[in-house]
Amino acid sequence: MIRRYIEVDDDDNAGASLFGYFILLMLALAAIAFVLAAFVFAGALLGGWVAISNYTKSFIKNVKLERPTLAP
Amino acid sequence: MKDQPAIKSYFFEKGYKDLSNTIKDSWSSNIASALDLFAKGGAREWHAKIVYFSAGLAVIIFGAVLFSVLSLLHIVLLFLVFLVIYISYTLVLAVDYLYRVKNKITTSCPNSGCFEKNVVPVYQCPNCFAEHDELWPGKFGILNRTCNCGAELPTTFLNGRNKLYASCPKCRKNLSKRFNPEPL
Ligand SMILES: [Zn+2]
Ligand SMILES: [Zn+2]
Repeated sequence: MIRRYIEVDDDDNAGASLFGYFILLMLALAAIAFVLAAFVFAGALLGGWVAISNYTKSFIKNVKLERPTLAP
Repeated sequence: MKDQPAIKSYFFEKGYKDLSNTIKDSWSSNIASALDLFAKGGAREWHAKIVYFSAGLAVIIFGAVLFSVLSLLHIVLLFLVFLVIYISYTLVLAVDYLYRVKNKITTSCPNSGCFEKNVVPVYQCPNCFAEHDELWPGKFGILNRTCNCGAELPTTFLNGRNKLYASCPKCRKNLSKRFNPEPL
């Protein structure tokens, strides 16, 4: 009887802890995904900002709406 | 169109150079920004290295994406604006031509021994006397062109091209009676 009780108890514990581990794993994965997404988002903001400011500077430097002047 | 003693219109040459220079410069600036971040990270501790290296990588990857979008936008906008210019250029050319045909405005050389018919005269710049043998709307200007000396010349009959000193492209003699006091 005792053995059987322990066996049943063990099975219950195993099921409960498996579910617990699953939740923990999901939470950990979600946290990693969130951190990764935040990292990529920060990278996109930085890369985008650098590209836009570089393009604007290049545009101001190069685009002069006038006829080319003759070489002296 | 032959080479003319005039400065090319922005819309026929320099506009495209400006576009390609803008694209080239912005791309090399992106690369320079990324290399700068890599270099800054090189002299730091390992965790700062990771931050700088990722930042440099982000500048290359996302910078390339934004660079492509901006270049494409720039090209499309430039072509739209230039298309409007080219359409108006074609209209000016057509209106000028139709006006001359309708009013039977032609030029024939009055000089004996030549009598060349229906020529577009060689026009002279009133400022530096340079000869413009194709003074009509084109890559040097649509309604006006700038002579190498800086003077503005009209390129159509409608805005006063016929008031310039003109000579025959064949015999190079004077065509306009205004400048030719002798009886023809
Ligand atoms: Zn001139
Ligand atoms: Zn002639």
